[in-house]
Amino acid sequence: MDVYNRNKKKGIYIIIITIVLIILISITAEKANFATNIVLYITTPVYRLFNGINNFIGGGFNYVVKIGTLQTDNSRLLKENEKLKYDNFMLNEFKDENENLRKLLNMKEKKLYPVVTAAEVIGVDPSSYRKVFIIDKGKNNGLSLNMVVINYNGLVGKLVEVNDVTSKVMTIADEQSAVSCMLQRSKEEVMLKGANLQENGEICKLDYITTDTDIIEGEDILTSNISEIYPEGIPVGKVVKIETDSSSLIRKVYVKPNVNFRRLNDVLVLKNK
Amino acid sequence: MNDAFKIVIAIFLYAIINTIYVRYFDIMGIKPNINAIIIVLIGLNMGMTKGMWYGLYLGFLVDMLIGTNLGLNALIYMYIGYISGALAKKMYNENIFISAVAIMLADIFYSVVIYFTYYLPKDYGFLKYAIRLLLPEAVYTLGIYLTIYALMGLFRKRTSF
Repeated sequence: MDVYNRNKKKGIYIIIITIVLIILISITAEKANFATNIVLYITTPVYRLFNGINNFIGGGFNYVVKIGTLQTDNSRLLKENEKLKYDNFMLNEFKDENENLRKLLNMKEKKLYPVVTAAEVIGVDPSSYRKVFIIDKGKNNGLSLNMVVINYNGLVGKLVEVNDVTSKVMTIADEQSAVSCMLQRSKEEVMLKGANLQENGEICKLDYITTDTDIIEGEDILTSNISEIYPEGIPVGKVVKIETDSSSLIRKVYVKPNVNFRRLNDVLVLKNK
Repeated sequence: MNDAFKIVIAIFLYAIINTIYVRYFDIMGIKPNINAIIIVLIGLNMGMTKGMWYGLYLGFLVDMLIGTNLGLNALIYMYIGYISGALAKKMYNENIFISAVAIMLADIFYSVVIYFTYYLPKDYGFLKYAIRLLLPEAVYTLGIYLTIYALMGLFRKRTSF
């Protein structure tokens, strides 16, 4: 009888907790909340500590591995630096010229979106079904919801949850992600969606591409000017596969993002539109 | 320090370490569900009540660190802990076969709940989901568990001299 009562009590606990959790799930969807904020204040220093150790060991290991090639690397980088200096000089010239021509044509100057902060990736979602990661900057560093995250290769994603000290970034390969983009050659507007259940999990697809759309494999995809969040012209990825079905007018187009999400360590956060 | 407190601290550190290092285990976009391994083993070895509470605790930590809905992982891992505890009462006697099957089923249960929450509303076919994510993840998780088990066995043998 006693065992029966104990089991009944456990059953009641489970039902109550389940109901409370279901309510909690429905009211906290993608919102920063007080409890999470408190926990993140405690966990962030631990994250920094582990990442510090990680970088120290990784850095030391890399140094040992690359010690033999340091001299050749150095001379190669010096040459590259010279070339980049020249390119930079030329680009500045082009920039001035562009500004002058725009003035002559009475065109509006292109709006630039300033970098809010640089951030470090400190953790990733341990589950396979989402492509989300944590960065070490939050509301205290001036970040807010929907800010755009990039790295030197191109678009990474956007902020989907901003807490005081950390933020969560949803990458463009996540199934929930949708980015308004354009094709580089024809400037045609397309919708890029995450397709992390396809192939190796780091791929996106283009929606509603008909057979008369001018698109080729290897074509670059950029963010479009009609997007409500993303600034125009950020490189997103390259078309890797176009599947044409003879029975329908719609084509399946797969895009490989420029960013390698598995090797992502440092990112920049831009102000959104 | 009492045992419960030690476990609470260990799970706290584990949850953080898991989110840092799990990306190195990513194969073709599939990551092993190490959380399920931990909670099933706690449930099997410590019983229903502890399995349930530690599952709830780890789930909450995962939700707070990286989840989008506070409570979803907590709910799933609470049930995994509870059911593993119930299973232990009926048949567990430190048998690798039972723990391996329990871990695989726990991972499949997790993936099915995720399917109903995230993919079903988007009309994503279950068969496609099962082939691409559910089954490979369950096999990968099982592989990781068996590897850890074998390593622990080897370690025990070495240290018993």
